[in-house]
This record gives sequence, structure tokens and C-alpha cells, in this order.
Amino acid sequence: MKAIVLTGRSLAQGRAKERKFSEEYMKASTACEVDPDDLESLGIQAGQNVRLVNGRGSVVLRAVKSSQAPHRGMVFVAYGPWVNVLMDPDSDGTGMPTLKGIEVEVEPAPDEEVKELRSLLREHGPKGG
Amino acid sequence: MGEGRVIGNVVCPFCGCCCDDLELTIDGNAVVSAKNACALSQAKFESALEERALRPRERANGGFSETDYERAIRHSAEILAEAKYPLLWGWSCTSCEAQSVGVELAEEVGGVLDNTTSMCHGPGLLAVHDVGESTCTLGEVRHRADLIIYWGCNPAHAHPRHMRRYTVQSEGRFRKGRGERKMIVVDVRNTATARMADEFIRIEPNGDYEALAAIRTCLKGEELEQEVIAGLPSTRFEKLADELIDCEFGVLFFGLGLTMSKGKSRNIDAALSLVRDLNSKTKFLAMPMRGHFNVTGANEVFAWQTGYPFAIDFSQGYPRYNPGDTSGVDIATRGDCDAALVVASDPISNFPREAAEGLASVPIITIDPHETPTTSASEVVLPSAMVGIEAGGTVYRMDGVPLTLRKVLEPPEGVLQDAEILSAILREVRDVRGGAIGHAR
Repeated sequence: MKAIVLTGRSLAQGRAKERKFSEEYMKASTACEVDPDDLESLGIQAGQNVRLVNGRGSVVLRAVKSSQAPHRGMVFVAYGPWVNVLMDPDSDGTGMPTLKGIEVEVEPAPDEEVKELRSLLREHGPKGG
Repeated sequence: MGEGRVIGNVVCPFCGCCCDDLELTIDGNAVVSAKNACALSQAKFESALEERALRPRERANGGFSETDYERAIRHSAEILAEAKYPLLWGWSCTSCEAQSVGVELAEEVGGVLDNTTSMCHGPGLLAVHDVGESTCTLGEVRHRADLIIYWGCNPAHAHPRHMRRYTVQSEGRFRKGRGERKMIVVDVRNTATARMADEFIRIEPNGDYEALAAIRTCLKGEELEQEVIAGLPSTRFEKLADELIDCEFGVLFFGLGLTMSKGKSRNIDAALSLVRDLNSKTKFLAMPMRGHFNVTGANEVFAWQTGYPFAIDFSQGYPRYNPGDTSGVDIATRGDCDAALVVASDPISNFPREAAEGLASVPIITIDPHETPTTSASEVVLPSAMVGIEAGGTVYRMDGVPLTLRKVLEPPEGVLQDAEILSAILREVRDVRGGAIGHAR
């Protein structure tokens, strides 16, 4: 399914943002809010995992039924290193990377695991972990 | 809990609302309750001691070894003094006093000084340079505003007390409460804030510029040629334009929905131009929903001292300002910097991955109270006291009103404040450079 990703602050992510290695932060930052009709189209249930892919990378996140529907073709993920795998650093001459409105492909990934933060960071290079 | 020490009138160090009516109950050296605090603020105060960086450390043999401040500061100074183009990043979650030392340090090492503005409302400041800004304090909003627009922001999650203290739910001198104010939300999703509004206008993603331009067209009395604009019938914008004109004192609060999506600075340009146009018909003002509690202070301090609010390049020996070129994410993505000083920020988490990888490839010195992905990727880690909890200082609220943060807890034993650490690094840099003046090498 093609979708647009929005990132932003959520209350849960904001509450945990100074405890980056906590379960609370991981849970808040890896929740991918999906429109209920899109969940059905994907053939998955809330709580199962999805993979978001674009030309910059791919990341596995936990699908959550959106409370802010309807927004078919749009998913929301709180700010964090997981969703930043997909974000475009090009600032269009403003200094601001594009962190909202990024196009991705959303695929069911019920058998794949959401990476734990340290594992994700190791991909940033030898010092990342 | 009942026997704890109570401290009143505490300023919150979370978001740009800087609520100054918190009442904290302290038991021992911990906050056990935070009256008047929102959910974000409560979590910050009550978990202040969790995931703390407690001892200075340096990278050694593929891992870290603990050291003392003296050695870590000297090592930091050597890295910065030797770097050709260091990036000094962060600054929005520390005090104005620390920010001021940061300016001096950036000039001394000939680096780039950028605060997190460039990843939040930086595009808005670019628009302010072009268009100007009709604005006011939040106090004026509370007392006078009868129309509040939240565009591209969700204060119910990001600024939880904004509506209660300053806008629709506040009790002002001339506007007594929710019944005397109208609230309109423009967003791409039916957010918690949108559900509280009198009107929710759902536009399609990346349709903000188009929507703002449509309203401006209607205000000028011109007809809209398209039938559908930003996913809505054009008649919806005609109605909205009439509603904006009909208010006595309107305020447009805009969020990162405008600055982070397609159009970026041009979206804010359109929003500020709309507000300017509205002032020919009624009273209308605009204000960005600033995120970090002292990002406004970083803009103020940097602008006083260098002439520019963010993305300031000292590599030529004088301040240059060219966001898109001299801004943190761009520099890290291009791989231009050869060292970084990060103060009270976590760019390895917050930058797009390509930029984070670029940053992680150079020696990073991090001054931060907490363990973060950025401290994990650092060459030197200097733990600091939490500003607004374990250290006082000056901050600027989102409307530019300065407030004084209070120290309510003792920092962990031996942990220094940001301003102290930065001053010590500056002294050491000067020592390493053997008395060379400024950035000249």
C-alpha cells in the first residue's frame, strides 16, 4: 500500500523522550498509526508489525489503529530514530529536512521484529552502539 | 509525600509554553508531585533521575573509559581547537547563560553554531525575514482573543496547557472563557486538538500553501478558479475568509505541520502574509508553537550576539548566515564538519538517518544530563545538571517573554552545569591555541 508518513510529537513519546533506552520510549516511537480501513486492506490487525519502505531505507514498526481517522493512505509515527530511517535530509535550502509528507510503501510484516534501539543505532556506524 | 517541601511558581522546562505556575513537592532530592504540570512536564520532573549520565567519559579501545571533568574538558578543547569546521549543535534545552558562552566558543573555534530551530521553526524565521510578523504576548491573547486558529499543530499532545493557560479555555480580562472564543483547527488529521475545535478543516497533506493562498485570494475579493483546493471545495475557503474578517482579535498559531512539509518557509511566508492582509480588515496576529523550552532564547541570544538567530558560520572569522548551507542537518549530511559539540540535544535520534550517520562519523563531544543515542556515539561525554530542575537560568517563552528557571533539586554529586562546562572548554581552547586571538590560525 502506498502511503504518506507524517511524523510529530505524541504525548507518549514526549513523556519518554528523556529516557531514550526505556521500553516506554520504544513503544511510543515505534507505533505506526494506521487508518482502520487501511489495516483491513493490508490484511493485518492492530498490534501486528508492518514494514515501511522507501528509497532511503526500510523499518519495521508496530501497526496501531489510528484514533484520528479517517486518513486513508496516511500513517503517523512519532519523532524518533526508527522513522528517521525514511526521512529526507534535503532541506531545500532552508535548513529543515522533510519530516512530514514522505512517500513510502507499507507492507505487512507480521513475522518480522521491531529493532531494539541499540541494534538500530549500530547501523549508524561503528560508534553507533 | 505530605511532609515534603513545597516550592511554588516554578517555571516548567519542557515546551515553549514555559508555564510558570507549577507547584512542586520535593521529598529528599526527588520531585514526588508536580501540581499544575501537564503530562509532559510531570514525566520530566518525576523521572529526572532516570537514565542519567553521571561521570565524564572518553572513548578508548572501542569502548568508553571514565575520567574526570578536567581531563574530559581538556580533551574536548583539543578536539575543537584542532577541527577545521566544527559544528556546535543543540542549545534549545539549556539556559541563555550557557547559550551566550556557546557563541563565544563558536567564534573562538571558527565553527558553525546552530540550534534546533533549524529543525523546527527555522523556516518560519526565514519567512519573518521576508514578510515581518504581527505578533503579541500570550497575555494579550488570553485577555483579548476571540478567534484562535491552530494550523498544523496539535497542542493537546505537544503543548498540553496552551489552550488552558493562554487561549480558548483561559479566562481573560475581556474574554471570559470558551464560550466567548471561537476555535478553528486546520490539519491533515482529526487530532485530539481538532476534536476540541468549533470547526475542523481537514486539508490534504502538503496542501497548506495552496489553502493559505486561497484564503488570501478570497480576502482580496477575487474569485477562486479551481473547484477543489487542498482537497476541499473552494467555497470552504470563501467561508473561512469571512469568519477571519468577522473576528475582533484573531490569532493564528502555527506548528511544524507548516514548516516540515512541502513548501517549508514558503508556507510560513503565506501564513504571515495572510495575517498581514487580515490586518487591513481586523486585528490579527501570528505566533509559532515553539517546541523546546528555550529555543526562543537560543534565537534571542544568538541574534543579539551575532546578528542571526541560528545557522551561524564563523569559519571566515565573522558571522555568516545561510540556512540550507550553514545549518546542522545540511552540514552533517554533506559530511562537511570534522568535529561536533552537542549541547542538551540528541541529533543522532532526531536527524534523518543520513545526517545522523554523517555526524556519527566525526568526533562528537556531548554535554547532556542523560544517556542518549548521541552520548553513545560520542568521543567525549560531559554529564550536566538538568536546566530548570538542577540548575537555574534565563529562558524565553514562545512569545519572547523572559522567565527565570529555578533550581529545585541538587544535581548528582559532582555534576556541573552547562555554562560552567562550556566556560571551562573555552578557557582550555584558548590555552591549547596558545593565546591565538579569535579563530585565526
